[in-house]
Amino acid sequence: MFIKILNVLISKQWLIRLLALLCFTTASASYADQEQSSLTSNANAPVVKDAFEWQFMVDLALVNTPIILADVEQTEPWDYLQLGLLLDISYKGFFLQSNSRRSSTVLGGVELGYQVTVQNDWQLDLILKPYINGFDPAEIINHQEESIPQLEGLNEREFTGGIALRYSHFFDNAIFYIDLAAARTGENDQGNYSTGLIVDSFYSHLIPYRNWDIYFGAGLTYYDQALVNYYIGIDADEVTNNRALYNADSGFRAQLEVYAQYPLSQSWSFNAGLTQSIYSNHIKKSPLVDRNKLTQLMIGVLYVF
Amino acid sequence: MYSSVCKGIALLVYSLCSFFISSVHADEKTTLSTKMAFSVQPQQCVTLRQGRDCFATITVQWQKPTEQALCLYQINTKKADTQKQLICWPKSKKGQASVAFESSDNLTYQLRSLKGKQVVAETEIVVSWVHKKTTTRRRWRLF
Repeated sequence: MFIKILNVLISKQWLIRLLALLCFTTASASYADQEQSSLTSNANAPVVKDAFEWQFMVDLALVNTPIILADVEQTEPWDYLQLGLLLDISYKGFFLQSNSRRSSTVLGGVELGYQVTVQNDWQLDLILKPYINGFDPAEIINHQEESIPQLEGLNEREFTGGIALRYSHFFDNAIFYIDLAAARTGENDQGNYSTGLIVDSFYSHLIPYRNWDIYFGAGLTYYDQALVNYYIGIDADEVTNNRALYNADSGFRAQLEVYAQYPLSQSWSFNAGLTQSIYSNHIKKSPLVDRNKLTQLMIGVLYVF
Repeated sequence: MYSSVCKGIALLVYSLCSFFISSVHADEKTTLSTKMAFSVQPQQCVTLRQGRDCFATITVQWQKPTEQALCLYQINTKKADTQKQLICWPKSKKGQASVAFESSDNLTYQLRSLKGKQVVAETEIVVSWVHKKTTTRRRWRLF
């Protein structure tokens, strides 16, 4: 799937230029590493890349995850229950990381990456990851208790994946990272897809309190117009009485988050978190959207093998 | 036939008893004097990450048939045998105390006589963790 995405990304002219820039940056950074390691061995020398490590975890959680689509609610008890199989592997700078904070579907939210350079207080990675979840209007309608006319007959929206250059900066008990991603949506049954830029940034600050880890986070994400339009825009062939033609603008998402973790035993930990997301106000102009503020909650346990 | 079965059962019972006795003996390693009861609860402190300080409030209890003045010591064998006197009891047959535990290493607790500082009992609190120390620096958000 990712290879397929990559092939299509490479076919785009502007993406070639972006990748060339990434390669240039990579080559320069690698050269810098060699030069530094051969000339110096002081405290400023590069930190060693991740050795072979792996960790497998199972996550079970209750989640309240509203979405921006109009009239779509979590209806059944199991909508609130999520099971995640989380695998982390690293070897010689390559890594596969799953999101250990979020319960998701099997192996959901996995990042595949390579550490271009690792320094004491910053790091540069090349990553491949899914950025936006898709949705199937027909499946949503089947699942909901009440009909949602604005979703009837709407084309499926596939997930968006991207290849990104990630800069991370490390502080004492804090981390800031920013992804510059060339993203592409999957192709739906009509063969429609979109490409665009995503700039995703996040700051997370850890406050340890006794055996608790408490993280406070804030994030800002930019989504290209083509990507926003792919999800909440209405094409001419999708127009109905309940759904006017709509062309979406580019958009932002701001997030505030608090997340806490507590050890229950050598294998189990308790996790809870709250995220407040605020999307650009104009997304409510879409016939598919009725809110731009989401409050998401999670409470669960994590088993570490 | 019957005799060999009996012998087999006897051997099994003997083995089980030996195993049980050796287990009991192992449990009693924490107490140097068999006439003395010394317990520390909980015996394990779990932290999220290897190397982080673990926090707990531990309950220390001891009891012995004869009166004695005792002191409780906390020893970190990994840090050049750093030891700290925590509490002393006047002459008594039993004692109890709540003690704050804060360490990234296993700590040994010893009951020593007030006079002569002779160790009369000891036990250990083990620090364990959910996630082992890793070079990977994670950067996840919740949603």
